[in-house]
Amino acid sequence: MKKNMMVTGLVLLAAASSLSCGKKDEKFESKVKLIRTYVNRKDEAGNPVVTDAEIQFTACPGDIRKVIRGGGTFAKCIADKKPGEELSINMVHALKRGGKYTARVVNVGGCERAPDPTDSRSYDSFRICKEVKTDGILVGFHCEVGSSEELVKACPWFGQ
Amino acid sequence: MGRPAQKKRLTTFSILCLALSALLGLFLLSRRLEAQPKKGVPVATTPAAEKLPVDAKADAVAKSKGDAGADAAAEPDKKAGGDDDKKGDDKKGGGDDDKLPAEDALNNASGLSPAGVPIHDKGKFKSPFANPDFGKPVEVKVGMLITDISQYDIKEGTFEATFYLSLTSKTPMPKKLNLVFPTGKVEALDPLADRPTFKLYRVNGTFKSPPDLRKYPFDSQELTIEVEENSKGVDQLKLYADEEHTRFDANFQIAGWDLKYLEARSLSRDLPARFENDDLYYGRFICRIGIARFGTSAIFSVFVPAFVIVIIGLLAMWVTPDEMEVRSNGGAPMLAGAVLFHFSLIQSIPATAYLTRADKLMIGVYMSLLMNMISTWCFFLVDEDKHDKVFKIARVLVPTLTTILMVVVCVV
Repeated sequence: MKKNMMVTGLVLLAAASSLSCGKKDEKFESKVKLIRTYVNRKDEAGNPVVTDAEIQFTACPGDIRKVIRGGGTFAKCIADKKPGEELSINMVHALKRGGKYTARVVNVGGCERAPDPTDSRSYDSFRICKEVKTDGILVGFHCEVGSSEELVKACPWFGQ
Repeated sequence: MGRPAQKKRLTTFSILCLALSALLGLFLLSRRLEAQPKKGVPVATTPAAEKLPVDAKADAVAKSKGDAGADAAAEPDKKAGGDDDKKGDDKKGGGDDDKLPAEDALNNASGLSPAGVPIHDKGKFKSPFANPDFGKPVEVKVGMLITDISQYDIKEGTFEATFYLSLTSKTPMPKKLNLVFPTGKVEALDPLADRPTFKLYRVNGTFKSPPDLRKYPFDSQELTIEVEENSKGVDQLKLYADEEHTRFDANFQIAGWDLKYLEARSLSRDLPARFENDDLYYGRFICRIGIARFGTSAIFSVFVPAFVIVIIGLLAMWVTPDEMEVRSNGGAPMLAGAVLFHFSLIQSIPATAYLTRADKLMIGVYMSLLMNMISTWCFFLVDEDKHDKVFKIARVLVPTLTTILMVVVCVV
């Protein structure tokens, strides 16, 4: 009896600790600028079936972009938007392949998107650039390309 | 078993462990000493400093260290052409029949120096590879799309890279460019486009960047890829970093490392005088990729084992003097374990002429274990009636000093 209780206790403890270790999927909302859309596939009637959209996060420092691919209703809905348009975006902070976190886009400008976990096309591009000068002369550039502290402070959905 | 026999066995065991630790320690020390620069070996001087007049040497050293020299690359319009702005498209680029990349410049040389080297007596440069009749130098934007970096070997400082290299200009570039990669060995240089104002190559090769391991295992490394056009000087061609088109491919990753930054810069540099009047500057494009080791991995692979060794060693402080065998077993084997762990650590990195953070941590571990062992030996040195006093003092003093020591080695 005592032994069973101990085992149950240990199992509960392990379950509780594993739950506390896992990060809950947080939800975020922001604004983006639509850079471009590209209809990747059309059906026989000429309606978009799969569309890529490149969006730029205007609230984040630097040039932070996301290329997202979506099918179904999203493909048609996003293809109707104009490049340069400012859209609202809803995201879920979730673990992606490779063990890193990403901001999964679930809605852009009213276009619902069901993220496909097998999608290997969508990606993020982080660039917070500054000029490099030597002896006061411009010689090149330096871009932070990771999920930097500055970026996560302004846009927490990019936190790892 | 009698007390003297037990004491003798303990002493033998401790001596054996110490001898093993000393041997391994000497091996580690010899590796460190090998990495020290040898006396009497001449230090390489900067190429520019060797060639320039004395008053210009300091400037040249600064240029070579700080990638300055970029003045020529960064101010194209001010210096372009100089006094000899003769334009003539017929003279731009070499003839198609020329065999060498710089044959056109050699053919245009106005005379011979006393040493027999062709020389130009007009224009900014006397070098036979200068082309004073070329006109305004072509401003070339260099872009690099890095698609893959793999096989990074921190011990050798080498990595394999695959990238697209683009050269774009508003005016036609000189013919027969001769691109070289000074820090690497290129296995494939496939031209995908070759037009006078646009060139695109797919490059694959092995490149070299010496690692900086002072902060190891929390180190950050910089992988460098350099591209130089070494047949056309800055009087014909000036390279600029193309910010918009220098980037990583989608979902780019380097296994085991966190991508931090991408830096690109252009500079113009000269070579140590290969012959008389070798005064021509050449353009170079430098791309630097900053990567950092994952902190969690560093903590678990280096710091956690080191602290476990120290903590197990400290547990012996609570073993009473009448259990001397157990107490001494907590010290000497731990020292051997620490030396072996240190040995395995330095196997994964090259020999350095300085202490890494991991080395400093291990010094802390050795010191802690030494204090531990000294406290045990004290029981053999003092009278039996004082054992309780020694036990109490050691139990407070050794853990306190160890804590202070470990904090210091972790912070410094």
